[in-house]
Amino acid sequence: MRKIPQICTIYELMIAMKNYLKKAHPQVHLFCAFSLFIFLSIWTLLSAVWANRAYQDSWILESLLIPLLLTVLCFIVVVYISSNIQIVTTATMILTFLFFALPSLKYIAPYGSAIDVSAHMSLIRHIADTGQVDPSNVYQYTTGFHVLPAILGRLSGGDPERFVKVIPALLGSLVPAIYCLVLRRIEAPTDLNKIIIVLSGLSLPPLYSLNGTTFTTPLFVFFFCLLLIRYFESPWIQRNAFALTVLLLLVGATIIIWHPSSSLVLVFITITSGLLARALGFSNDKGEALWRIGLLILVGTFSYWMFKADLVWEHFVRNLYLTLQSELTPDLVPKRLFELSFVEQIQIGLYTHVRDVLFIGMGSLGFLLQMRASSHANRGNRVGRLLAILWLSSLLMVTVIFAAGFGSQGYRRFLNYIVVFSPWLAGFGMWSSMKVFSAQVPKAKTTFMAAGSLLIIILISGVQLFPYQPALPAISVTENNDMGTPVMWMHQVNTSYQYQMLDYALHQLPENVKLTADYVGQRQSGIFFNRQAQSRIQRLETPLAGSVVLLHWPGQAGPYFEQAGSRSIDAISNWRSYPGIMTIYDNGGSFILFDPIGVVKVSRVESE
Amino acid sequence: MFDSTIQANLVIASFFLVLFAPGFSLTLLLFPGSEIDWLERFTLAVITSVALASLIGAALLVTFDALILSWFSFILIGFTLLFMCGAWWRSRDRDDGVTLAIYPKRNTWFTALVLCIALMLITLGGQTLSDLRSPLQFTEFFIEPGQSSRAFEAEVDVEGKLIIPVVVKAGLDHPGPFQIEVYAEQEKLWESAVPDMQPNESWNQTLRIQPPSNTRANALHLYLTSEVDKEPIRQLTVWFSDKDS
Repeated sequence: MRKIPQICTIYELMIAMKNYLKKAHPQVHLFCAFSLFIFLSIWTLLSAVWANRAYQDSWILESLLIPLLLTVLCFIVVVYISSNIQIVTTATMILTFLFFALPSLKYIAPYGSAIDVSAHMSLIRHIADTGQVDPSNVYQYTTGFHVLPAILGRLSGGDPERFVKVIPALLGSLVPAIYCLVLRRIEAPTDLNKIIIVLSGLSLPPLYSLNGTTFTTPLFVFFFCLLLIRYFESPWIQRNAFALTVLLLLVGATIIIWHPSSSLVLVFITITSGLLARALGFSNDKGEALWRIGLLILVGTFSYWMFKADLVWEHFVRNLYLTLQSELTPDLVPKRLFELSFVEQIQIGLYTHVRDVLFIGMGSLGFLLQMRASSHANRGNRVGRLLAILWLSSLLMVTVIFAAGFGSQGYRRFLNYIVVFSPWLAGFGMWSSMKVFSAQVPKAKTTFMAAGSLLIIILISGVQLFPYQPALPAISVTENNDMGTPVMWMHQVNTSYQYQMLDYALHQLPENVKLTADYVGQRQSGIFFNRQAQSRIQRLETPLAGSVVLLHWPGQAGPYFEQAGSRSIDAISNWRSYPGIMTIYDNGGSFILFDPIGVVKVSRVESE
Repeated sequence: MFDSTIQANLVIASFFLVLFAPGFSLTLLLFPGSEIDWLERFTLAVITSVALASLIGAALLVTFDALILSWFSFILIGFTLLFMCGAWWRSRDRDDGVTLAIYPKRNTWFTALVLCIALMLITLGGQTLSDLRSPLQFTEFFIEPGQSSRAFEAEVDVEGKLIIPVVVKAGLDHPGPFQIEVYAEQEKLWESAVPDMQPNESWNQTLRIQPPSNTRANALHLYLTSEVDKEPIRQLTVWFSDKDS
């Protein structure tokens, strides 16, 4: 008699799967978890592409949170199941790429409307269009990065913008792999390697916003990783010393032509580390090597600046002059921050620097432990001591910046360097604490706590990398503006509202009209169009009678950077209804006003 | 449909040609055996490709004032082939050879094959060979007699004005008309139209400009701007000594 197949319920199927997995080999668990991780990563990436939008929503992770959280959870499982460092590194590379590619892929225009995005984007577009550098651009002689998207765009016949969105994230995703290369040669314990590799991916600055410091940081990490590996002796290093030196010099030369400030920081850290190594009595020949490499980069940098990149040199001299003339130096921290209540200051501080504080704190713990263990002269400790010196040098650099009150270059870029050096020591500190802890509690609990602490670190890093705009403090809650206007905009989307409005102003209005705009609008003309368009628009710092003013409502049309009070919804409503002021264009988010009497005033940005 | 397939192929081929192939062949030369595993080789390949492509691109821009696509492609492919020949030479007597799980000991040739396909795709797209141009065909803008340098230390006449002898030599690429603008920081000091010229024709003029007293940098920037698209195409920097000193 023929058997009728039984139809099982989903519950029975799950029980069967659970029993199978229980009995299965650990490799099967890993395979399942890793496959699921890959699937979730692809889902998250596709969610970002499908959610493609040209307006500013409430948060970068809006509509991406659930897939990203599931991917992170699955990532933690992969990291704790796997003892294979290659799999952990691959998973971290994928997660790092996701973190930094998502904001770029989600929004149609390149992300970020402030700082250097405008200068970099207009230069890339100029090179792609004309094959030449824009002589009025400050980065005209440091075109190393700009050449890449421009050449890829021209070779493929596509828009260079699509490559701009991917290349920094791609470079960032290689950072865990280069850490892995060093850690495997040092022969550090597997658990320590895993922690450091995971932290390395999280330590990078927001690579989705195009500025010189961010896109050069991965190269910076490669340089110091190669320097570290050259520092200690093993048969492998001796066999490949020439190859490693060639790579080191190649990356060093690339940093010089990529970004002026980064090459100076490179010089500072290598030379200071060499001096510190000598002062602290560490191995003399290695201290000398650091010192010599620092000098080599110094000579290379200044030779290039003085003989070819004269505009960079001019800016360097001017910045040096500003540093010496303290009254001309801009503020390190915007003054308006101190007008807020203490709780609000803490809130903004947390959103801006919570990950940095965590990494520097954990790095300090690792530094102390490393110094304590430095009496042992084994291989790991020698590298650890060099790491401690490099970390201390970068900390010294930030201290100098704050002590001198040097605001023309900002302080965040210098903070980035100390954070990207922190994973080594932070990982060491975390691993040592776990080792102490595991002696007192059962292994299962320790594993659970380690996984939990890693998850918390990832979530905390997410708070800084993807700040939640609605949670930031707001002012001026009135009838017109019931949600209030945020005192600070951390979400910076270049929107279609602004594009259409700027396009109208630049191409439909007569050429002789005086175009003025707020900070964001003026910068966006460079991001959307070119440097020439940007130079046609004047920044509106004082009211100008007879000018055409390009403005937008804060929110969906984009962020703003002026003081909250002068650019609140209430203030804008008042200007629009002021007698004599005419609205000549309005697309719902952005608008153009004609101001014949000189009323409209946008306060100056205190710190960019 | 066909166009989008070609476009996707070109994107992949460009990525391969610029961001992978040169570095991969360099890693084969530097680490010809099993010194590094596939993950490390991939990482170093991308990093070194990025470095090589940036250095070649920037060198072209600095030397010839132009990123000539065909030159860039041929130099990059030339380096790739050179590194591959070196890698083959270094690994010819080694037992471990160059290892890649899928194509053991054959991946040098595998790289060459994929590179050829990439090159064919790019040529098919008609992007590379379409702009075979000589750098001599670009317009030149320089100051006599310091032709080789972009930065120039200007002399001062009896009235305290800077003497700047400029020359514009028209090339095939930008036959003009042009305009010369002189800026001190953001302030425009002077402008003049350059007449329309035939290729290889030159235009000379000695500018006499009063340097501003309030500038911090003691430098003037001269821009040669195309009147057609209003874009600056060349820049020169002129330094001058402080009047007080």
